[in-house]
Amino acid sequence: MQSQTSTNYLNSPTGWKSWLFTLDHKRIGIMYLAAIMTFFVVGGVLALIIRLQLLSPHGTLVSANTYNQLFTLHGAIMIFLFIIPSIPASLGNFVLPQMLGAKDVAFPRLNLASWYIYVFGALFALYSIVAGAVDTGWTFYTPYSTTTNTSVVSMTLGVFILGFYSPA
Amino acid sequence: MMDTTGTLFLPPGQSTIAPEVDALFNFILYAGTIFFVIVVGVMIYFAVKYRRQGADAVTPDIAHNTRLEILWTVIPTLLVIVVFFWGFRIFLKMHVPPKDAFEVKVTGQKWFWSFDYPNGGNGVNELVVPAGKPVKLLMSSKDVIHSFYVPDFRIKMDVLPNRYTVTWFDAPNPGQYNLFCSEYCGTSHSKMIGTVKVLGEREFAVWQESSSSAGVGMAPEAYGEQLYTARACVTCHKVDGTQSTGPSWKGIFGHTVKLTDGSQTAVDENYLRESVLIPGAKVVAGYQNVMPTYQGILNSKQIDALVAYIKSLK
Repeated sequence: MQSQTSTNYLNSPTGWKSWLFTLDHKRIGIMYLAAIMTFFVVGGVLALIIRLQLLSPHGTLVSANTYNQLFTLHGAIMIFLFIIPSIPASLGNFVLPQMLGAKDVAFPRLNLASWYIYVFGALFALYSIVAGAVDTGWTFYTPYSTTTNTSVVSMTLGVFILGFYSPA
Repeated sequence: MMDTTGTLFLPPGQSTIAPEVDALFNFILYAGTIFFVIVVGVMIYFAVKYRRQGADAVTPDIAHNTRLEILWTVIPTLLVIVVFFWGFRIFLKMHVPPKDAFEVKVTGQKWFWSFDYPNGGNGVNELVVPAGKPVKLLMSSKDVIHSFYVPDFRIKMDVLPNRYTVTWFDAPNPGQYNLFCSEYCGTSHSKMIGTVKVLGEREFAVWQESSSSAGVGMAPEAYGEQLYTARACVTCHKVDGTQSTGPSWKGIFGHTVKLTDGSQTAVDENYLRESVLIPGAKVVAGYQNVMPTYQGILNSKQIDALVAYIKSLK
């Protein structure tokens, strides 16, 4: 029988390469879940710092500028790196093909490429923290975002890149 | 100042529109609460009552129930229509100021409010209005978007650059009410707080008289100290030597400061005057160029008073 030579859950490799180059929709779904949960924790920690600052009316934990950057990053991370990709990218990848009775998604390579674009966009967004964290609120509304000295461009570029991963 | 921080629910309404806004708000709140209880209650009851009774239980084949479906379509639709027309009537009332209104020009900028009155007087962070008379606010911003929010009056209106927005209120009771900026506008947004001072007829007339003769008979240092708070310098500058959005004023006069471009300058009268009128000209190292110009907000007598006040801070 042919099936004895194909890969299945008993004989499939488990190394890091088998994950990073996988075309298996379930593995990609799990990779999405891992990345998304990581950012969920980051956004959650930022929210915790905001709440700690607000414990008293004259909170002195962080400065006004840092506070503004905290709620901006919290919002941007939760919206663009967590809420938007969470259900479609992780559960959609893992569960949907099985519910449909399909072997995999229609374009498995594109599916993997989407995950890399997500990570690439997320890195841009994270880079903006180092380059001078944005303080505009996650809506980046003008005219404030055009006058602030923080790195609005790299953050919005990250969000722009994220728009391309359009979960399979 | 009215203490609105201690209330869990809405602060008492203090304008003529407030009872109408509250009535609609309460209607939506209580209608929503009642239907939440009914829907969730029935859902839980049904989930328990019609749970699977055994391994061989068969789900009954129920296609539809016309009477029920009409009921749960018509009732919410009626509720939404009622809320829409009720709200739209109040919305129109809030947006069309009465013809005889007392008109004040409101300017929002980072990070204070300034008010220009019909008699030529002006003020910062304190809007003084007569009680029991409609007050129309013609508002614009000098930089980014702000929002004029007086919780006690139930009014909130965005203040935009390059265009006017209008709101109005009629506050029957003399008193002092909180004014907040409710559109995020940068570093000191949370300190962009003012007061609406509603005065009785006689007090308001007295105030109008005195507003044109402010500072008369006062020592320049004392008038400067008054302006320090009244013109919102206090939002960004401290006088005890600690850093804020801007440098502290304590002991800076007569000293030399480093500027952002690496050069140095002596803090003298002319430097102070320039920093008030053209704040971006020479920015002290370590600070951002965020101060708005006070051109047209402070007259020369007031700038003299502020310079005298800064000189007195040793």
